[in-house]
Amino acid sequence: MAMAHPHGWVDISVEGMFDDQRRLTALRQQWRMDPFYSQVVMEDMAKVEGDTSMEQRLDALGVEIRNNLAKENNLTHITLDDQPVAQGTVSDTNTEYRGERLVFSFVLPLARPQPMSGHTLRYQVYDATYYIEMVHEANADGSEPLPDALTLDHAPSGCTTRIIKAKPDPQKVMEAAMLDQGATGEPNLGHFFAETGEIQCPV
Amino acid sequence: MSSVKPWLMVLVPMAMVVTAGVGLYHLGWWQQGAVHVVLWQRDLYHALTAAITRIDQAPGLATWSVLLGVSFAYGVFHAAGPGHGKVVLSTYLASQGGAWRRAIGLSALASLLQGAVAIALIAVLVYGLGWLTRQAMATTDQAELASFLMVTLVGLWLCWRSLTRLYRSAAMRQHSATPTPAPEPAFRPVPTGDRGLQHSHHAHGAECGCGHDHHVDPATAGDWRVALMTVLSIGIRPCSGAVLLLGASALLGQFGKGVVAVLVMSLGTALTVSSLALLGVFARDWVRRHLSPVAGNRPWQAWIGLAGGAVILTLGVSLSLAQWRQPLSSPAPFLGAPTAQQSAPSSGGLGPFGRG
Repeated sequence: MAMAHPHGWVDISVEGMFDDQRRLTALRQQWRMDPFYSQVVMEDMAKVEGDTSMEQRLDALGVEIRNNLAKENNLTHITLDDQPVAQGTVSDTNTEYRGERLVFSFVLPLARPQPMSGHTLRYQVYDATYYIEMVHEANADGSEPLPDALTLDHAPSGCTTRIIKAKPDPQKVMEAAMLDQGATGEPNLGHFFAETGEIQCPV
Repeated sequence: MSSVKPWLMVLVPMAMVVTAGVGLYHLGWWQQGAVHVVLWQRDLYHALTAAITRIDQAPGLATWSVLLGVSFAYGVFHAAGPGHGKVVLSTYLASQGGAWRRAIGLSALASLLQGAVAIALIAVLVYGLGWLTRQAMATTDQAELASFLMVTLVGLWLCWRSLTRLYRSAAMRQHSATPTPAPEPAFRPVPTGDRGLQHSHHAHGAECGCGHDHHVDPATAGDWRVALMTVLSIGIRPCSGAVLLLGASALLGQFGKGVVAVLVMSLGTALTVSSLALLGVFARDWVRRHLSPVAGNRPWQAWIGLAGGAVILTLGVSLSLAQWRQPLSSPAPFLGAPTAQQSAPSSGGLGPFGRG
């Protein structure tokens, strides 16, 4: 119950998917769970009873993760020109164990395909409690996000992306951290430490 | 601790905390500091996982020192946020008395116990009983509730003790048997040392039991029982982060190194916690020197003891109630429990990312 701080992290990368009419249709996401968490989950997977294959077990895990995420808005918050954007149902989930990391990937469609010319779309992926830190894939010392962390597929020419680092407002962080233990409100620290991904297309 | 070094060991962390505290507060860096503590904790956690993984690949002096350094720093900053353990301990020391040696002793004990409990949890549940790491982690919720209940008990005990002291001192003043100002039990430093002091001065406190042998002073024994219970109430709750670290290092075949890391982490935690506890002790002494002209002003100090007990009691009750009302599996784990959860009793659909 001490001040919330990350006890695990997920390295994320995002791909903005466009359709033939130059509309943004979905954000494809890949989440690489941190090494410790990956170990613990793989231990679980290894001990599942029955004669299912590891792929089947990981698939079942993926379904479970997807269902859990659906209750939490997929931990993703999307805005278009600062207006909230509704999400569709997650599809194409895939779960695998790669490079000693558990990797969960999925396609998060927008509720409606979004014409992007002259618009700016931003998203944040975070766990509000900040128990888990969601961070774009970054260089070795974590100081700069990798270019691959946010890419575009079939984008109209001229569209640009950038990843904006979090600039937590100390005042708000303090308030969130100091919320009374007994209070019902959960510290919303995750929000303050969340990076923002931005996709911008010219008119 | 040898004769010179204790002061160094007290003064250095004290100076660090005081400087940091004054600087942060007066220069308005306090809030900025909160952000940085969170960021440091995050970075250190990343470094810790990397260090455990790396030491597996290339065990050597360099990797070991990185692991130990990172673990220690993680412990220091992990304890830097507000937490009920520190509040309980500081309140206990500030209101119930105790010299700096006791402050350090109790803080170190509580911190090391937390590490030991985490180690025992993985050793017994995972190695001994074959639980999954995830299931072992879920028990930190129950440990937390146990901790809060014990805090409540400590508060109750302190209140009761202060009340009896107030009652006794009221009775005592009517008889007024001791001409020399008796050392104040509520502020008695380490009991054994103080006892020696009393003998050398031939001044027996009211609770000294004059005319009797001083083998077992019931008040002193009670004192230590409360102190131990305070330590237990804090130390019984392992950090789920430490449990995760141990579980993961066990899975990587590095349990021994995980144990070392957690122990060093506990030392770091002990440094922070004891610095805070010392601040409480010194603040109390300062207040006593400046605000209480008569050293043996018994009721005044017993009232403080009562107030401290009441604070701890209130904290314990409110935390217990909050924990009680909370659904056992908190909403944070977005990654649900995988399918293997038939064996252990504690698996309540809580992912490894339970909160703690």
